Amino acid sequence: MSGYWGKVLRVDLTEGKITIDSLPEEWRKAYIGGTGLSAKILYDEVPAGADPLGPENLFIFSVGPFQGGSKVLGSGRFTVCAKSPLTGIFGESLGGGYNAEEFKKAGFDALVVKGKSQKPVYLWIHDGEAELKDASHLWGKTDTFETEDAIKDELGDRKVQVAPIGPAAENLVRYAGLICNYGHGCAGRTGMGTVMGSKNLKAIAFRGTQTVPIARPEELEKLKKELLAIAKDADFTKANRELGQAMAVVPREENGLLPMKNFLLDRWPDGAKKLGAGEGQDFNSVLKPKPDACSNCIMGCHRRVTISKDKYAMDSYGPEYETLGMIGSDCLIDNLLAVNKANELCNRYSLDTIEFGGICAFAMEAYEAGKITKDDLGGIELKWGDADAMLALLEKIAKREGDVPRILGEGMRVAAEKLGVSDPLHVNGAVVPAHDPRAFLSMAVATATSMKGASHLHGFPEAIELGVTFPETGLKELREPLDPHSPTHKGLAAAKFQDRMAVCNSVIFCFFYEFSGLDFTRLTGFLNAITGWDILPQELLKTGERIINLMNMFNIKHGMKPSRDYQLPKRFLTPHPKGGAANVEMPFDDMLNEYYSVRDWPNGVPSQGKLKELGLDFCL
Amino acid sequence: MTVIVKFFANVKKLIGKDEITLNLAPSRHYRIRDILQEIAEHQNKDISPFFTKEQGIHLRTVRVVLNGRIIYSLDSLEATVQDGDRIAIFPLLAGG
Repeated sequence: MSGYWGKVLRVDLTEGKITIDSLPEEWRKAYIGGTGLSAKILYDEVPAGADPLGPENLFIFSVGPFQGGSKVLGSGRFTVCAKSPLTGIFGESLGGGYNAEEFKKAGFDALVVKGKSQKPVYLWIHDGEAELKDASHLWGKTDTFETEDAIKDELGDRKVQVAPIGPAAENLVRYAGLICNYGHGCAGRTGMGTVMGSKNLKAIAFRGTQTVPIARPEELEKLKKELLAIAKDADFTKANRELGQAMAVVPREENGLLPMKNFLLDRWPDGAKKLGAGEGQDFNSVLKPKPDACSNCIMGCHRRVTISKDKYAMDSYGPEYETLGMIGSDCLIDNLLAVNKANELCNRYSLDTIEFGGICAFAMEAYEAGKITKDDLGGIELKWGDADAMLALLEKIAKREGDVPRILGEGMRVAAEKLGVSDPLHVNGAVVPAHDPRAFLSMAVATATSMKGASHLHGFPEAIELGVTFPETGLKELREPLDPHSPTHKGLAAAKFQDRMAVCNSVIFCFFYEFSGLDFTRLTGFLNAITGWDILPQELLKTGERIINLMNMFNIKHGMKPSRDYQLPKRFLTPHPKGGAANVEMPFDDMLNEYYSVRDWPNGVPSQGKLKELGLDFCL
Repeated sequence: MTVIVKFFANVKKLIGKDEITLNLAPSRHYRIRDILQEIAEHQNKDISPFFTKEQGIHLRTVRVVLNGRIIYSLDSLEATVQDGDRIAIFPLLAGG
């Protein structure tokens, strides 16, 4: 067996029992690993109606064949999946840093946790073994950074890597994530840290020294050399290293993708310059960041930042584009030091910065409309652009202080119902991230049909509107770039790029490398060299389609009605009068119907024929 | 020979057109770099944020796609352009 250990670590926290399952070859080929494998396990084992915060839910930490031996560029990523406490449907988040490599080198392909521990514990996984250790001394006392330090000290090895949760997850804020490597590897979305909190699982610690076998090492090395030659000189690599993701703020303010004032505003050029990185912008001059890379990466888009003498002092990682967009421009906050501080606080508390930023903007709009008052917020005057009010709200949500902050900690869907706010900007409970779907119409379909609630990374078909074509589909419509403002072929693009991303999140690699040379043909080549398989890109794409269909069937099993639930908030159906996407008409229903037709999903439900074609007969 | 150049997003806004068709002397050897320089010289607009006459193209502000395939780096701009080629020019953007 190559590319895999063939081992799934199973932990029953209720019983305190640890076992090891095999990972059969037919599952490896059908679901690969990461998100795909997690979808299969979650569909099979989480009963319909299970409480996401109950012992029946599973928490899955997994990697794929690219981790633990291949050192393919961009392979330093892991996935965490569960039934989401934020959305009630498929939950998924990916993180970078160092944990993916360390976990795989410890001898496992996936970790599946069920049940609930009576007392707080952490799981210590090392070279083929695992044990539960008491975490009572950490629970309620340490944030994610302190937890990581304490566990490394306790185990006496600074090379141990840790995936911890912080107070927000312990307090069951429904959008808490796993914040690893002091904010270098964040898996924030859909409340996967909250699921750990519900199980009294404070952290997972990894140490591994084993390298997974590679089937055809010479072929792999040749492919790696080819990719390195392209990637190291690629403009995107250089820009991402020099400027990081903050480089996207100003261009996206210009093209209408950046959220501004809870997606109400169409231009905010002066504010964007205070948050962005590039010529005449503040990010690099104010924060003086240093690039930092995940395992197996030459880009280093993460930013190491230290601010020592300021009321917003911090020492960890700076904000990326999504955080600058959601906590910054979406709240009209142009105070970069405060957004930077909020990013670190979210990381320490283990709050998702996308979800918190969206909730804060939502609350600011509700405050302006008089639906929330200063008294409701314990004295906070939550006005647009008020950085200190934002920071105060963050603390209250994480600590669950006061009725309204507690409600805001339940997520936007619940908060809108309880506070009487109409048309909240979420899809299936997850806030719409910093990609206004009016600017790139493919994203309207992909955001609405994301299997995990609104996400910019459930497909990212915007790529083809930025020049990443998809000839491996064999479709002439996707051989050339698409116009972002035209609805033509956008349902098709959304479907095929979702399939592609499902593969990306299962093998697993960082999609940024798609902009630096890692196209789908090369990706398939890597997979074959690592595993010894001989599959074609078209077959691999079919695997991606299988995974997406299975995620949808998981959602339907857990109560989703696609025709009702795969929709966009109404605010996005009206174009902005000004800005980069001014007056762009969005025929959303037409694009959605094209998507359903391409997928063979009448009214959003996979047809029997489609499920049989994909080998998903067990869903019938 | 004929080459079609399409513009997207911010680049389209700057140029003021969706696409232009360049009719070029068949006897001359054109690289992608030459085509971009040709555009820079013939557009009566300030397109300096994306193109300069000296370099043909600003390294880090645009992405070029030739016949559906990304040109990943500046070095690739030396590639020869042939009759009927399609070039697309985008702002250099991505993110997550």
